[in-house]
Amino acid sequence: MSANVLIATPPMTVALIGNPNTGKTTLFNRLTGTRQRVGNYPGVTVARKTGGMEIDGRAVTVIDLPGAYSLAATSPDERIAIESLQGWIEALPDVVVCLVDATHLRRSLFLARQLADLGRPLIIALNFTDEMRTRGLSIDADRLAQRLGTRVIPIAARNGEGIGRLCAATSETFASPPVSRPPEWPVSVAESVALLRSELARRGGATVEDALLRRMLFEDDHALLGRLGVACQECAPLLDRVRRPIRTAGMHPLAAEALVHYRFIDSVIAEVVSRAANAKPGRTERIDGVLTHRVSGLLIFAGLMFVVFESIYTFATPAMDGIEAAAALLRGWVRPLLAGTPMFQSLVCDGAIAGAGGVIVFLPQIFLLFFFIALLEDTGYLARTAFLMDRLFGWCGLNGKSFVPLLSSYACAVPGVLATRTIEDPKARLLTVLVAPLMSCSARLPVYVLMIGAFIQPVYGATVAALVLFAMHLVGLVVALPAAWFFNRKVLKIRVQPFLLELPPYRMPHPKDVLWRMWEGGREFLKRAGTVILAMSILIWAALYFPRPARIVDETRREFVAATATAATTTPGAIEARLAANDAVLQAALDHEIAANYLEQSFLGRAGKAVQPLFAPAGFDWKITVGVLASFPAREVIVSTLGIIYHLGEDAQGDSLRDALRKAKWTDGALAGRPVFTLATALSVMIFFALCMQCGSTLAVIARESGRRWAVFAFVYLTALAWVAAVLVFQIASRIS
Amino acid sequence: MNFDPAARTVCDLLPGEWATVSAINHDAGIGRRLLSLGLMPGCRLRLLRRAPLGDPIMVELPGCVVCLRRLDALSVSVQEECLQTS
Repeated sequence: MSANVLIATPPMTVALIGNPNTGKTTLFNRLTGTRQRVGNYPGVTVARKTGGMEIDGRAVTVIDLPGAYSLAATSPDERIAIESLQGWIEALPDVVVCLVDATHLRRSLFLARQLADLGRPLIIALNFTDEMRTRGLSIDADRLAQRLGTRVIPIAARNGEGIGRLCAATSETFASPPVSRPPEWPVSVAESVALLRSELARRGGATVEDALLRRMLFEDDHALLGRLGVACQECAPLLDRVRRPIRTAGMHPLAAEALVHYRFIDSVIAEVVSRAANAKPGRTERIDGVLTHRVSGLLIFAGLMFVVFESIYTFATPAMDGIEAAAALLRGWVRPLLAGTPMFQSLVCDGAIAGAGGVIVFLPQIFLLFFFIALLEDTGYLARTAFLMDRLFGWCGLNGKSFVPLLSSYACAVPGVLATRTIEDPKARLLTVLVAPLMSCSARLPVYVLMIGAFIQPVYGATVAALVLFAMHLVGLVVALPAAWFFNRKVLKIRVQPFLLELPPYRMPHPKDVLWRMWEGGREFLKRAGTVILAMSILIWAALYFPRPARIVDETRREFVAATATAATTTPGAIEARLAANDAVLQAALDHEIAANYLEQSFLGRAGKAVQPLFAPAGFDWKITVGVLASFPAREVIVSTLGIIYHLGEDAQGDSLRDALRKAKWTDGALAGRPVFTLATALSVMIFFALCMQCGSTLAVIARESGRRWAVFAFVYLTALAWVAAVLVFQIASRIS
Repeated sequence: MNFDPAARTVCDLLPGEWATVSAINHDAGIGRRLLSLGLMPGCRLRLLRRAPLGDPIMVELPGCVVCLRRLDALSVSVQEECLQTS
């Protein structure tokens, strides 16, 4: 029986297409149940997504095509849409559902007319009918269906109204596609199509439908011609020849399609749309009067951004502390269990658990960030922030949409880079990704606090200390904009894309969609970046652990006993006796000494000593250099690494480490005996940490979002930039002071 | 109707002012995107407001509201409407 059913009802593929902000993703979620990103911001759906559903026992695959205003591809998203509908990406969809915003009927119908011209079985889903009613608009759906020659189904995707009817209509259309009524083209367009057809036939190319030939005529893009084997340099003259009839008829070839479609659309709208006499003026316009006002708009914007930023920074802290405490607890619990195998113990505790903790610790911030982004985007406010901020970022190739990702990067660059998905201009998006790591993230704070606490506050007082801390947070932004400008002009060399941003009406976001988005963001981060971060943590653990020669324990013990005896003016025997009697203080000091010597002898320790001359111009000794190298996977490691190197143990923080740094002296070279850390060194270390790409997680995310090539580029440029800046700061500051 | 770069453009409108599109420069990328949104000669539009820093501008087109940079908006020339209010 079931086999019969399967034969009787073959699977069906439905492509969902529509303008940005028509609730397409919401409809996709309601249809397939697998929720994903829902946006109120043009271009949210970047990747093509599919989902499964069932209509009357028939398996249906729903393809969620990227939001597009037109089939004339002006962006990679729109190219994906047209290529899917041509069956070039995979099998041709059986039914195309075009989502139309009932409150923006005129604009939405343009895409619907282009689809009608392609001649695929088409259904119009008229969304936001609930909103339309509250605005006092009404649309005669039957008359609209008559004029378009397709089924028109009024729905309200948010609350599920009309979804059942839409499914039924899809089934019917699949079973018996209606005879669609293609647009009536002027004679001149038909002539041009015939010319193009004969030109292509002369070249022996495959025969193509008229609809596709028209797409070539109306577009400036030569990708379609290229697909038919026309050489790149021939495209422009060829199109110029075949477009002559259109031009002779007095139309600009690139405008002809819109003129024909909108003439039809305007006549249809006059017939089917009626506006109640008491129609209210737009709520959106009134809200915009406040939210984009030059005074109140900016104040509210600053306030909102402060709340968002503060929340990501503050609300996440208890959860992050909790995760860190849990990781520490787990390490403390596991450590004795594995005491028999010290290497395995260290791998599990210091490598795996610490590494996994280092991944999970980002989750609270990422959840919060995606929650706020979903909220800002789905209400329509994110587009307004782009409007307010565009001038500030536009000059260097970024755009207004770069603001929120850059702000988020102040908490952490990982969610910041993920947030660049809201930027649809690929160039502005890449630029934002490249400069996002420059924003002073929360992991830099411990370094600033340590350096400022040790070298600036005691000498210059709390006010200067606070100012320096503020300046350190500003440095990244000040460097980022010129850096973006430079990459825009010298590296990417792509001409300026026009910035056209639709400002969608303000809408109430659906809690389910917001929560789903938040969950999905966190899950994706764990899956995509988590594995890489974990692997890197284990690698760096190995570089710090091995080769670990056994003789170090004895050697260190001997030296320690001798040195302690001399310092305390007793005999080595007395010290040995105290150690044998389990003197806790003495044993801890010895353990720290052993850990420090292991670190010094480790691969990374040796590497630090080897490359120290490279960092000498910045005033770094080998200990700082090892700290710098060890912090490439995660910059906050510097504090604990310095703790180990300065023989204080891993947990050393605050006062003891501050004192150790102040007492540190050069052991050899021209500066022997002079303190390592001066004001110049402290500033140079801080500037290095402010600019350097010392974050494996960010690199992993950049590689996932923009490709490995750009991750390498970001790493190289940021490290070079940090080195140059540190050297400059050290050289200038040491000459002044 | 050909595009005349010297003509009055959307940028020259006062906030709240309505105007009729007289020509669009289709050779600029923005022209084509505006066209697909249904903005063509003869359409009425309104400058809603400028961003706090003067750029970009918010324009009401027939059926939607968009934000444009001044540089791009120079591709849309308009004719002011005599004493018409809405």
